[in-house]
Amino acid sequence: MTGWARAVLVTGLVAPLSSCLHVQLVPGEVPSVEVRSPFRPHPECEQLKLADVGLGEELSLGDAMALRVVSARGGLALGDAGGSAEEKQLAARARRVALVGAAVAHVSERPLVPWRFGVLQAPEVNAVSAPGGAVFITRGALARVENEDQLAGILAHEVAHVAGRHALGRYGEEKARTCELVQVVRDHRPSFPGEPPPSFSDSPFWQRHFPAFAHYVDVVLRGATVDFDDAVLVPVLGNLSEKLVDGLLRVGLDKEAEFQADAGAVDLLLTLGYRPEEFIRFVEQLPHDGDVFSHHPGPAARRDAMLAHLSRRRAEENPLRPQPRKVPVPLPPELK
Amino acid sequence: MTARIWLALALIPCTPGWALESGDTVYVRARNTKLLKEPRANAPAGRTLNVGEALTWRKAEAGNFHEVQPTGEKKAGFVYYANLALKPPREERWAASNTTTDVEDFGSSGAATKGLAQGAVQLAATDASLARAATALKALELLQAGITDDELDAQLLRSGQEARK
Repeated sequence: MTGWARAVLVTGLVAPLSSCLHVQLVPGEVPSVEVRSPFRPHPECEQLKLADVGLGEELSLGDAMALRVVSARGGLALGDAGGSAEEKQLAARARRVALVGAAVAHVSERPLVPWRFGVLQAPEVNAVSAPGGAVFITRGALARVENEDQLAGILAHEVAHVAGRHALGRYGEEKARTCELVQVVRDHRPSFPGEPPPSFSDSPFWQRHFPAFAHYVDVVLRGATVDFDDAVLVPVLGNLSEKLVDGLLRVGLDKEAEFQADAGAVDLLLTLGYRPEEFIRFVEQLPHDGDVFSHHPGPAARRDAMLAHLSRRRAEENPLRPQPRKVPVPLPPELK
Repeated sequence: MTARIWLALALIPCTPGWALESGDTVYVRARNTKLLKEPRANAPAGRTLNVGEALTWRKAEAGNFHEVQPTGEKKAGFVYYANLALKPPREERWAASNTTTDVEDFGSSGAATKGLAQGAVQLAATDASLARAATALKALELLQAGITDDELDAQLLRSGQEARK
């Protein structure tokens, strides 16, 4: 039995006992093992939650997440500019959404990201974004939009999520969880005098059975950039993207991130000259039951927070902002 | 100063605003921003400004245009407000460990397509539904890249300019 296999076995046996106590096993066939509580956080793992992620890593993860979103929500409604009247209408609508999104992204905190704005076929009322600038609105949400200000607001909310790197925060938490798991295994692994610290990628057991995970873990523990374009990491990318998108679509981000995205949307709308009140009205009219934005804070709480933020912003002087609009921008024909 | 004046001063709301004065610095927000020769849309353009380039603000013009002067240059010009920012845009680094900005090729319009990341392409090859999603995302990227700077300018005017009416 290899060292790592023994470690897993020992961990499996000891972990239940060690959750509250440090257990010193009696020396025997297995060398002396000091068991550390698996619930004691490791500082090096905690740091991974806040570690910066470069655009390369963000785009790789974001593209995989975008694939999952599009696949899970029935594909994209792109239409065909050279097709039937209905297809032409769909194509014109997709182009208008992409254009309004481009304008929002243009004035965002991250104008250099390759933003893309698409319409998901799903009839539900929702919008979702992935790291790296993929933003989606569902057909159901688009059908409820009454003016361009509301559409811009929905897209701006998602742009603010990407600019705030909120989903990347979840990724950091996943990295930290993986790190903790590995450290627990390491803590419970028998130590042999003179043996170097274990490396997953050097372990024959992990290399044989879990090469992708072993490689990923080593990169994560070094705090290095994860190169998801490396073919060996495709299974990890598949697993991570599935987990993150499932969480986004089912549970969503935390309430603090949602309030931040709402405030960011108000700022973007003001900068563009749209009326934030229209987006606030859209949010206020959302049902707060079932699957419809159920992960967001309640509409009333969101409305109150946005109105307070809007009031503060309106009191500020900003010469690079147009005068407040009196009436919303009407929907262009292709969105009616 | 009478107590009444002090009271009046105390009641003035504290507004953390950014009142610009001639000589202040503003920054170019996005790529393909043109230094226009007149303060109007479709005016003849001078040189194209760089993202994050510092400009000296001179004064606001009608129609949300601003007179600005590139640092170290004699000739001033005009830029639409949406292409200016009070702070430089956030730098993007390809790898977090990089010490200098190395991402300038992606913009909000007219940029060359980046293509799906290689990892996502390989992931899409493992599943038919993901492969269909990859095809759709590539089409979306082409659609987004097909939006011209003129279309984007018109869209920015659509929301910003009509606010004056």
